[in-house]
Amino acid sequence: MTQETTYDRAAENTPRGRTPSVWSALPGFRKSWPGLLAMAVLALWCGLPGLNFLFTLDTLLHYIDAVLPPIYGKGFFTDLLHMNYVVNCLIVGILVRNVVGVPNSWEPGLTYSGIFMNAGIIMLGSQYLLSDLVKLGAVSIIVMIFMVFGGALIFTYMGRWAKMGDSMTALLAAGFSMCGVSACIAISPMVRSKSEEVAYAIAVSVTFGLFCLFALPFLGHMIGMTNDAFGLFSAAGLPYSNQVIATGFNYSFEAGRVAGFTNIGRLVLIPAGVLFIYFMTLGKEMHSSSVSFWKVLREKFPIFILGFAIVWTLNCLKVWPLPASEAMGRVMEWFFSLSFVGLGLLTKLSDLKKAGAKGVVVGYVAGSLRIILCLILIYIATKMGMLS
Amino acid sequence: MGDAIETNQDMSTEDLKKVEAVADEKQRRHRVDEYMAMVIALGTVAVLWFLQYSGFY
Repeated sequence: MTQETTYDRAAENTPRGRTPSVWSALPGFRKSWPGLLAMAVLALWCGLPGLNFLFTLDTLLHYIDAVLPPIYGKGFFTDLLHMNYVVNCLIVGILVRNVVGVPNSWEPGLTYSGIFMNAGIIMLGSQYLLSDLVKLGAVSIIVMIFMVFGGALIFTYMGRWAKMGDSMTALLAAGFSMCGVSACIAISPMVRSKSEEVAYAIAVSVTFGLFCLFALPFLGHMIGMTNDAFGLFSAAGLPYSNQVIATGFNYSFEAGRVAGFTNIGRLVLIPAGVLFIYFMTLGKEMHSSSVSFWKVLREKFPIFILGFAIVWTLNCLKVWPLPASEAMGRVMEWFFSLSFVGLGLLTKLSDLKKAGAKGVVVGYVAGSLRIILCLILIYIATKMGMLS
Repeated sequence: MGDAIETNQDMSTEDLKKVEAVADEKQRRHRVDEYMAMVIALGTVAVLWFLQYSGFY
């Protein structure tokens, strides 16, 4: 049976009616407020940047570090474990989800964490000038092209070697090479994935990214990466935008700023990457395929990047003075804090079991190879003087 | 690899419809998240700009 006839059969049975409004996909405020309130309270308790409340986790950790004898002259939590607002928000969220549990009433509100992340990325535009584009634009685009398409090739060949099946291979390639959850979902109908395969691929990419989120800053500090290099490294190496931003800010504010900026390059490449993976994994069927480039571009292009472009352009034109730009940077960090708490509260560690041994091994090995490829590219870029 | 393609080609219409419906739903949610983020972020930028312009900080 060809792909066209399979989809035609599905289309014949699809009831014809009005296409539902996109806004109907968003849960209403009545359903969402418990989850939103929980995220806000937990983010406040973890310690929002710029708000010096007394009874926060951040204050407590600083107090313990001040009371305990220093280890090699450094505080245990703040200096050695790098426990900052990013790690605090994530760990508290993960602990609440996996130890205490999350009531069902929170779930609709927690899905807003993606909105706060996107809002933070848009506001990140207020922290860049034209000089940042000149400094990082070319190198980030080159690295991202290598990582998106090279990463997809690594996964395709690893999947073939492990005899994983085309749809699972394509899902893992999309999840790791582009943008985790959204890329997996975008490609799933094109490669005829089963719903459980989509869940497996998402689980593997998200848990791998979570591991990297905590491990990569240690690696970066160990090999002495600069903020620019680490920001680009986290944007190119990690599979999920939330985790990219969290890893960058976990390293330093400057690295987070660079990670957010260079991540835009990867988001722009999503439509091209989706098509590339589709043709790589199902190449033999491409002649009978009805996949349209323009349709994929229209449906998968992340339009919130236009918001980033508007804010960045206004900032480059110096429409607002520096104090306003600083205030925008602070509010951006609050949006990210809310998003990190939400990310933690949505992380189910038990999902890893669902992925199965083969999926986890292939995903983690290929993901690690991608990280190594990324390190090599960044090393070459640094040696060529394209990156500080 | 070919086995997997054949296996998934055996998916019933119901299975295909389920996967497509889930993907459509997630795609719509993804889009509306982007619209909401643009409204929230651009609104916040406008408010902070106005407050600064009015001399609040």
